[in-house]
Amino acid sequence: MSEIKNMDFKYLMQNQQNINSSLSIQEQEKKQVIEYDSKIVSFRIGNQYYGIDIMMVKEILCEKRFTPIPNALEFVRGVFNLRGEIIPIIDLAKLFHLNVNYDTIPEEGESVIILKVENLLIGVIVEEIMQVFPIQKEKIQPPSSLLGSINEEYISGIIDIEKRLYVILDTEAIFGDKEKAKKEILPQESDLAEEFFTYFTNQVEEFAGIHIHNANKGKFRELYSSYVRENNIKDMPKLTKDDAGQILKNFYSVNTDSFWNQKQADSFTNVVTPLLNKIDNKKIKGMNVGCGNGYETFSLYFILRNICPDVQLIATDNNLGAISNASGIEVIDKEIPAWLEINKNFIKTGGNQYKIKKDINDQIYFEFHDAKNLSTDERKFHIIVARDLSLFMKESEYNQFLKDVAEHLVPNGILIVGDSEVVSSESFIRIDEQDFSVFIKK
Amino acid sequence: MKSASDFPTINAKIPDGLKEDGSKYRVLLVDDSIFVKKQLQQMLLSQDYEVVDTAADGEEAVAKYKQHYPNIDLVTMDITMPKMDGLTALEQIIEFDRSAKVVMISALGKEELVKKALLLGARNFIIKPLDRVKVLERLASVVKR
Amino acid sequence: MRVEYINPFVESAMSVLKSTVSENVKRGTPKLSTSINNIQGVAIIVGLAGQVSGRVVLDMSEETALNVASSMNGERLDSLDELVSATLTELGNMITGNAITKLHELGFKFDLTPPALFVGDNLRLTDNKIEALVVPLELEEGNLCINVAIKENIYK
Repeated sequence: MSEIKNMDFKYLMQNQQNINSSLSIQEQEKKQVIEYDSKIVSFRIGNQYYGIDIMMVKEILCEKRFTPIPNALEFVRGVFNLRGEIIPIIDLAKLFHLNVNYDTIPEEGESVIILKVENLLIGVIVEEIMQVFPIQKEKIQPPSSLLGSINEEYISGIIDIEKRLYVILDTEAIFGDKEKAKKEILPQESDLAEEFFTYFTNQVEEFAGIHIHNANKGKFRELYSSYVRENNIKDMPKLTKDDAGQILKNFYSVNTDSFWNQKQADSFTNVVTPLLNKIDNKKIKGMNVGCGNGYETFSLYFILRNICPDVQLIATDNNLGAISNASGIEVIDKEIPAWLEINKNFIKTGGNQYKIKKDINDQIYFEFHDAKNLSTDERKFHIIVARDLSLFMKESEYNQFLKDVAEHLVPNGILIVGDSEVVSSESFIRIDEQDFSVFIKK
Repeated sequence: MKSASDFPTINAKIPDGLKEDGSKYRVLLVDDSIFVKKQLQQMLLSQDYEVVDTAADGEEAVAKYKQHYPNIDLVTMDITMPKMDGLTALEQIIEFDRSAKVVMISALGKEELVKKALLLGARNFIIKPLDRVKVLERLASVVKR
Repeated sequence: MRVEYINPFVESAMSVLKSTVSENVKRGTPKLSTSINNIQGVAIIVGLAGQVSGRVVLDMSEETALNVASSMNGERLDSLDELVSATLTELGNMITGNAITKLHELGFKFDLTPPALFVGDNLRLTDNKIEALVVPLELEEGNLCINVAIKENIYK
């Protein structure tokens, strides 16, 4: 196809017009009893008119967002996701080297005709879609032999409708060579992977009501790879709500829904103690943003209290139900790791149910608060723990949040984000640590 | 067992606002809100009390109490008011007349506030929103004591 | 805003409205906001002081305000006159006062300032230095919103 060069349609048309006019006298006599046996979709590129057999056309649409494919041939504009199907989009003018410059791309998008060639869907961009004409197949004139070598193989013929000539394209000839077409037009697997991944993340976002962006995309790439591998998926990944939930579960930091285990507590203590000592060792002011059901908050509180007895901890969440439960968290004995000293810190409420002692509970301020409004808070903290919060904010909101966090930390203050989150902010330096993502305010 | 005739009929009940000699209990009504004043006034008048005067702040309340003394049987006193708050006014009225019957009426029912008012000599404390039956019951118990 | 503060305000608003306006009060989902865009026409503002600073705003349309004041007075009131203003400010006073009383029982030391009433077509209350709890309430008289913003004075 890339060899279709300098197809001189203008010349071809003129030639055809001459042929037609010589036939037109005989034609007029027959006009009364025309029986149409086919239809074409007509369109315009530059000042030439074309037609495609309607049987080849799946649908017509206006679209402006095509995903570009790196290293694609010039006439491949990109791909387009049509209800889950990835369709290559071909610029017909470029394919045929028509040398037309479209004035401007219309507001509503470019005109695309989706063709179905065998089992392959291909979109072609044309300048303007005109109308559907009924035609008589026998009226299609073969392209003049004068055009000979100039790729007449791609043209079924030429037809005169209401004194205008239409070049009927033979789409099967153009795109029908599947192997060749696939190789040249269809994006290669490596290019598609990105499209598939985007489709995957879109579904996770949709089902789970979260945001995937640069702060957390890396981990989702991993999760995507293993999802595709485990489910042996070669095509567009189609997720269910459960799939999305499971994938999200694998994103969350360890011990999100339980008290931290001994190892985590030790590791946190080891990392944070020297950092806190550098700042102030008389008092620790901490904030746990997005504390959810409170397991993280209490784990944090007990660790900090072991480092320094005078701890003030604020725990916030924008889920009113969760934060209300967190402030009166009730657990069964099995959930309480030994380091939390069940007898010292908890009180039995019946059976194997336990509650944090009230005087301890009162040390923590649970606040109904949206992290997006952090700038309204005037307090300063030594440590802010905000694990997996990027999921609940758009990229711009999360970047603003990181700025606000920097504002609310004392110099050298500590920020802990989720295990799989990346902080790309100039305000923070990452501390090399395995179990937690630890950052220090510059 | 009591028979029905042992109970006074509703019609026979003497309105709360009347003394045994048939004259009316006289009330000074203190509140900065004309809504509350109107509300209280309606309740009091329905029981034949006489609203001698009203005041919209503490200072005015003290002045009016002194002006009408000794012809006042009851004061209803708001707490949060401009110029002088109800507690200070209460204190000054009691200072002037140790037997003054003042009932505090406030939207704030904080324990220490109630205690303070009672220690200063208030006879009762009613928390808004005002429930007609409760208000009349309490005021009656104060004036008739 | 501390979780402990939420219920006293919501419950107080519900119970005061029920006993003074109408039995049928429905509560919407509490939300968080940093500003009140488009106050509906009438706003009653009560300031909070003590161990916290903040404010409670009750906002509603003029029509709702008149309906509410009418119900509270037991007579039809058709203009935002002195009686309607006094009635509405008293409503703000009672809701806030009752909430503070409940909070006191829980050990929180709050005081309140006398209520103020604002009326206007295009009122906008913005305070990006404070995050507010917004609870929509539905009454037969119309819809109103209670907006509570509280900031701790201790713990700085």
